[in-house]
Amino acid sequence: MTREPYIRRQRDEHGRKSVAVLPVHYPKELLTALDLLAVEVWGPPGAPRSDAAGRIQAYVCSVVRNALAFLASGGADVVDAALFPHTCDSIQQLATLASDFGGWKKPTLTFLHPKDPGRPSARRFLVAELHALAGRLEALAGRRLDPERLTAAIALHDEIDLHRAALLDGRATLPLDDRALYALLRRGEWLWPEEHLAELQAARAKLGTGRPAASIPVLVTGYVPEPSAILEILNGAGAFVAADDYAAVGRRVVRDRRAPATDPWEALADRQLAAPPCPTRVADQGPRMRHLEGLAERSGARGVLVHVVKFCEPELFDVPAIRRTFEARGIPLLYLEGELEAQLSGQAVTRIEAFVEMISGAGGAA
Amino acid sequence: MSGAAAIGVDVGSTTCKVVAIDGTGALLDRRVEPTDPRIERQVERLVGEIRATAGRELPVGATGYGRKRVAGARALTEITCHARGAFARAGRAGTLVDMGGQDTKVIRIGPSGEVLDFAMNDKCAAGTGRFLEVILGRLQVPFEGLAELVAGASRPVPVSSTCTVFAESEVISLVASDEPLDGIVKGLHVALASRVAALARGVPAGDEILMSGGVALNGAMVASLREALSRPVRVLPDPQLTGAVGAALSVLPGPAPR
Repeated sequence: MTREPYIRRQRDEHGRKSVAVLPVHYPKELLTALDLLAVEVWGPPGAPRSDAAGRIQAYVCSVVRNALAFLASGGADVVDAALFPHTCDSIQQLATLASDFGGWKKPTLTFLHPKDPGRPSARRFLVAELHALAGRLEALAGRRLDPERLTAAIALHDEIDLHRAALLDGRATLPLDDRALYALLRRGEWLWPEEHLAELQAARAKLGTGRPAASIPVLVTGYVPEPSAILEILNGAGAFVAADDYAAVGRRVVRDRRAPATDPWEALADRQLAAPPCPTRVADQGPRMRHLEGLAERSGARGVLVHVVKFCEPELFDVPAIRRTFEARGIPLLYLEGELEAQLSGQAVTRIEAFVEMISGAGGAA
Repeated sequence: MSGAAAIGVDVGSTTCKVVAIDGTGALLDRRVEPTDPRIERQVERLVGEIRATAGRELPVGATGYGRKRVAGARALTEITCHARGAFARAGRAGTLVDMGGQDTKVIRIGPSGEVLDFAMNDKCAAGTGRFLEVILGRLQVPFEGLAELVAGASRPVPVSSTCTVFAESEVISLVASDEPLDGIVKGLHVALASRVAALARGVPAGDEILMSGGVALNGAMVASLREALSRPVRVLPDPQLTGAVGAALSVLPGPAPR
């Protein structure tokens, strides 16, 4: 089922309003607790270009350009509001451009997360921001936020993360190709969480029952696995994503298994702060490099694929450090930049295949 | 043609190359044609001609952007095949600059002929043979005598754009400004060489720079690249066939020749 009929069905059958959410990090638990459906907008690839996209400078990433074109073309008219987290200046500014130039007339919500969570004021700021967003969501939902429902929503998303982490960590024993695995994981971007949980549980039952057809483990870091053909090309060349650090996927899986705080607002803040290092939230490269090194070690990755969206400043700032980190470890790295095209270019295909040939030694040595 | 052991096919964006090699990697036969949009038919015909000369079936390796459309062949990327071909031709490790019709590759080749690292130009045709072909065509400068024309230029006329479309406009403006033709052509080569040199930054000082691809047949480009890199550049024999030879080597039975 595609998103639009699904959103309509959620409204008709469950009375749920829906919110389009721009990348990357936001407190989805609040929406779940208020019975609001979150539907994420990662671009999307192949969005119809319109005059609206021309309002944005050419050096702004295609996530923002496509999102504005998508909104302007009526792609999100079925939802009731849009949420713009402060992922970067471009997405933050999109919150105003959407109504100025994108024809967006529905409520526009924003969410600011602290950019230096190590500071003592960060938690206070975050909790206050969570309350502020909750207030705006309550107005949209037309109901008060029940603390018990918030606690239940936190537990639900914690369980979802538990399964997502298990699938990502046990990837090498899961008999699925990458496209199927990512389709499953990314359905969480728009499915009602309990339905997503059921799918994850079914997939988790397959852990340990086989292997992916491809055999060469790679670590992928980047923004979003689009176009999804990148996964097919990787698998076709003989490699698979053994460790994931996509902002859209692995970087949002909270692995903190401590018992949640009794106060749901504190528990919610804990979850936000415990997410893996992401340059859209924190500018400190040290913890991120250690995190990436850990992913590479645990997965036995033989190569690193850095897959970023052109002009994505938070991601691009970290690329030199990622290069240095893996060069020091003698792990080859491929840098691939895209613009959320509907198709991969022939050159991109050749680069991926050549990279896999290089790290696998298939035909590489004379 | 006795002794043929393998066939290599390199379906490039501009030309289609088919070669036969013997068990030592020596080149026995070759076919080079502009790439036909109907790749399967063209390759079938060229491979058929070589097989007929050899008088028997031979294993086929394929590379180039059309590699997956060569029936019954082992397909490998241009990166791997150029490294193999260059290693076999040069006899040792080094850094290969391959300038083809629509992409330019810089490949670091290890002591066993393996790929250590590689870089390619962006997806546009800037920095490739196609760039030169378009601009020289616009200037009506023939390929014959190009090296002499560039060598005789008193100074390069700076061409700031390496985007094929923008450079064409820029060159038209330079012609209108009565800049000397040889200087403009030299300026084009300098601009292109600087772009390729940027791809090759970080190449270890001890690495020999090898060159392959159709553009290596352009002496002016070789000289410009030598100048941009400030080091010698060795053009491989039959530079246009390096990838096809590498593809053939990849299907050669037994240990690969060196």
